[in-house]
Amino acid sequence: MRSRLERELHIRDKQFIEEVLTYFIKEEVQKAGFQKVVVGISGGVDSALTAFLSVKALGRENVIGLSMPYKTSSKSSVEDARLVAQKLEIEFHEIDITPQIDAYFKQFPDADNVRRGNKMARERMSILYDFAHWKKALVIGTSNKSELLIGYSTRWGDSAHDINPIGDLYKTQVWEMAEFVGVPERIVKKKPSADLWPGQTDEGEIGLSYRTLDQILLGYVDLRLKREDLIKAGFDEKTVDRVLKLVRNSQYKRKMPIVCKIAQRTVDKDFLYLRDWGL
Amino acid sequence: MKVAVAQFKSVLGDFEKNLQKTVEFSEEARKKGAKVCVFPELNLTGYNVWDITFEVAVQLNSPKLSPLLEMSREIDLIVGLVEESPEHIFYNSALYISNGKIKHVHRKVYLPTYGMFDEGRFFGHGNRVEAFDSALGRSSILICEDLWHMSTVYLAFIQGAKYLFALSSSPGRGYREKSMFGNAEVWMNMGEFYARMTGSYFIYANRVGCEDGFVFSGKSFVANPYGELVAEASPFEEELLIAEIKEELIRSARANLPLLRDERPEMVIKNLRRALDEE
Repeated sequence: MRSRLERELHIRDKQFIEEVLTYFIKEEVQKAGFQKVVVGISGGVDSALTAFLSVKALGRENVIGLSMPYKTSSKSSVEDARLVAQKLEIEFHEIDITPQIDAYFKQFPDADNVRRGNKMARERMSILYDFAHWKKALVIGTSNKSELLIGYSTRWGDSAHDINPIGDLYKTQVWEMAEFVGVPERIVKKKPSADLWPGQTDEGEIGLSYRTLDQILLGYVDLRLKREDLIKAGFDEKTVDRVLKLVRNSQYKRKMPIVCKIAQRTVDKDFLYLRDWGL
Repeated sequence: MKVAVAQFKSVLGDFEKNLQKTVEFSEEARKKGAKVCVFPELNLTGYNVWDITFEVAVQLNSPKLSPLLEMSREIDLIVGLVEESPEHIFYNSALYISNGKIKHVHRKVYLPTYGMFDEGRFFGHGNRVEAFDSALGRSSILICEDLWHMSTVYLAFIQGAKYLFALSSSPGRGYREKSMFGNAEVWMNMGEFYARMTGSYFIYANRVGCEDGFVFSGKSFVANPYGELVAEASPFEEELLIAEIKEELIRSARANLPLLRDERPEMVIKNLRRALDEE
């Protein structure tokens, strides 16, 4: 079963999947009446892949990249974000978010890393939406399937955007696709990090490798395997339980706010229309 | 004799716009000498209609259908829409329109209500699989999930259908195939197999476009009675596929492989009764 999971993660025809993702971007942006997208470029592989796909879909003149470092962001992140923008020859803005973040936390000097990190993620979201309005663009999201499923994101921060082309790609598939579309090797190869504080790495924080995480997630989500099936496949019991718990406990991050029903039809429950209604 | 397959992109919930484009496609098909122009499932409404069902439904005597009735004096049409019965049951239906009249109606028999599908929530299911005379010859219309049940194809076959019109709005999924989605490949396998096993033409009209990130898988095709693809559309583009129908091939295929001659529906009925009685 484990080799099956490994095999199932592999994207056979990357050219075709690239075409699907670029088609999706073009369709969903243009039929909503837009030409442009803004994308937050962190220097990591998710946003690099998203930026590359966006340029392929809409042309370089319709993609606006934003790098929004804080003073503790690593130098290499900032440089890699520049590299993506240079490579794609897109409009690019570097906005230092240090002043507004520091101004706020002056009132709360004891705030921990998580509070600070969340605030930064939401500040970036706020800037992306300001640019979106200014440039008449949609905000394109960069959350991959692994992080969506375990809730490794800031609610209404990096998780907030208009469309997301890579949300059905596990992290290991993002690497595969990023290499294929031509994202610079050093970005594909580096250790994934949210870079919200110095030394932070995804795999360190989550406590297991993306390869293992993705296999368990694919088994549970895509193949609907039971916990026992996963353990039988050779995954450590504690690891399986940990992953399943992360999925369950983060369900709230994947949903819109819940409304208390008192009437016949309720907006979040039985008022069922796709967003593309009329498009 | 030519048949046209319109690989169509619908605007979700906009009957008027879809109707107008249906007429345009039909006109083009007529110019190219086709006797029949086939459109995908729910092409006049879009696929994920959900609560729009009750807003886009039409009764079969509705003047809204007049442009299609008019057009059908020039070329026969198979279109997909939400049909409202006189009793106000809503069906996922396909109409065969010819010479100003609705000549045949197929109401989708199997409504997928699992995973990403929710048709049983909104539609009533049809109860009949019939054969009728189209401009090509004895024909049956089946809609998407209908075809995933072998029974419907068997019923069409046993009633003498030589032309199987397969209408679908199949959302793409599966990244383990080459140059197409996994489901598109299943459709192709199905078409080749059913065409060969029934000695019939299998005419598959699928959608393209996007609805909230469902990317329809296109790849409409026509398979001849030997199970060979004689026309094949792209995975993403709206297009009009024209295929030459060679009636003599049906005779040839059925002379070589006399499965219809040797079919024993009484035996099937007896066994079905027995199997059901044993329950």
